[in-house]
Amino acid sequence: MIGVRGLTKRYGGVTAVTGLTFDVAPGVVTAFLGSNGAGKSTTLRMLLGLDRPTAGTARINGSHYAQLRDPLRTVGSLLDSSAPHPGRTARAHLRWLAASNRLPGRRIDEVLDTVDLTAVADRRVRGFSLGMRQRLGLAAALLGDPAVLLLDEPVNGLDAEGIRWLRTSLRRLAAEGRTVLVSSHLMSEVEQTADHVLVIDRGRLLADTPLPDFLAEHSAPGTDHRSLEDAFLALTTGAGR
Amino acid sequence: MIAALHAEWVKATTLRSTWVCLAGFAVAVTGISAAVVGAIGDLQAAEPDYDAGLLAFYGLNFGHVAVIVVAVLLTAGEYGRQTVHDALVAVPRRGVFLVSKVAVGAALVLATATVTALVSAVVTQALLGPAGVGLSELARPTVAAALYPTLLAVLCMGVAMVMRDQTGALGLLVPFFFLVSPLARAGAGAAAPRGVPPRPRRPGRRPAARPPDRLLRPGHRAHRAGPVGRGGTARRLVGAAPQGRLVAPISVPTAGAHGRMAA
Repeated sequence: MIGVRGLTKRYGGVTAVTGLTFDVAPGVVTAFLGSNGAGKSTTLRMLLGLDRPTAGTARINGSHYAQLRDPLRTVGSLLDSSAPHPGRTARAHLRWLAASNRLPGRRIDEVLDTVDLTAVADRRVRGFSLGMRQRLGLAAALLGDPAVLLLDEPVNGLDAEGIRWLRTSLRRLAAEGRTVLVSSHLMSEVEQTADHVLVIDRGRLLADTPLPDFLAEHSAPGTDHRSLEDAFLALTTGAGR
Repeated sequence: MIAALHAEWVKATTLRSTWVCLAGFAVAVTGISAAVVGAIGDLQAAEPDYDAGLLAFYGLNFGHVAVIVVAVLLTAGEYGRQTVHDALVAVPRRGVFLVSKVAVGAALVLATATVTALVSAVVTQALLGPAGVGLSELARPTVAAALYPTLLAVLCMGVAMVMRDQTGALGLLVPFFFLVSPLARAGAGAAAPRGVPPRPRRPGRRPAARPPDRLLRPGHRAHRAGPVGRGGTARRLVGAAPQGRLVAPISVPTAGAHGRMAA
């Protein structure tokens, strides 16, 4: 369960997000939609305690992130797949993460198997493709078997097989009762995965509704079906109104 | 805290650069010390104010660059990429994270430097044969040769964490410890004005700060002593003045006292 109340972040004179208030419920896949620079990553960074809010609160299960004991057991996150040190092997990257949160060593093999990186686990990250790095980032997010998942653009760099795997994984993780928040700007992908959408534009929350309602609400009169892309653009640019 | 220490240990020991730097330090210190002692050790040992601790750890003047590099790689190396985000998400308490990182870095350097100092002491004194002094007489300089790289590593990790930039931190620290700091110390000694009594090298000892012209006079002892002799160019470059004690590995307090006894 994620709870955001009046969340505002300013960098100098630039306001990144302002007055965000929303909850993310467990058991469904929630998509966090917005254009580049809309404030998605800033919001996720504040949820993870990497940025201090100018005002408001961002809590996970009622706690600030920094108050969580062994936080990887509660929250799994993928922010930037270029983060793992290029000189370390995939297994070593997961080993230090596991050590930092007292996770059992067998979880390393389990998540490597889950993301299909077992064969390259002892290769240095330097030689990994974007898709392999993305899989490693997902493995790191799943390492602590967390009840809450925060994934920033997880589809980036994945191949067709990887995208399908991610889609089924997210649906399964949500069905297990976890809270899943996935930011994306790839509308067609979100349309196939998400149950609920949060739309953010220029730092403000524009929508917080189930996906079917969102599509219906922003459909042009007289059409039965409209893509999420059309609905999103209609809302954020006002062009379709 | 134990989990954070464990994580930092895994991080430091799973990077090849850590081992390369630590091995480079050990090889440079023992190798250069042994080479210098092998080349001019017997001449130096015959000098009346021979300093056994100075010569036995001469390689520290070069090996300490490896310590600076490993300290920067372990800290600023994490900020250069977004690796630090992973670290702060895994260990959100900043104090615990930073203390663990510095503790692990210092422990790795201390372990390496202790072994290196002992090997240097044993090898160099063995090379000197009868002119060599016993390990017990080199105890204080040996301890200092193990502690100096450790404290240097802590200082460099601190600076690198503030700068958060690998290239910038190396660009600042390497020239500082290799060039600026020894030159400043040498300059401070040489610049002592005539008429003002120069500061004694060690309490109760005769002044060390000789005017530069005396150093250059042909036939002066400094010339006979070669580049690393008392007052020799290299000795001046690596810092023998008393204000250098805190950072200069080779001007270990009381090392001279043992050396004098041996000589």
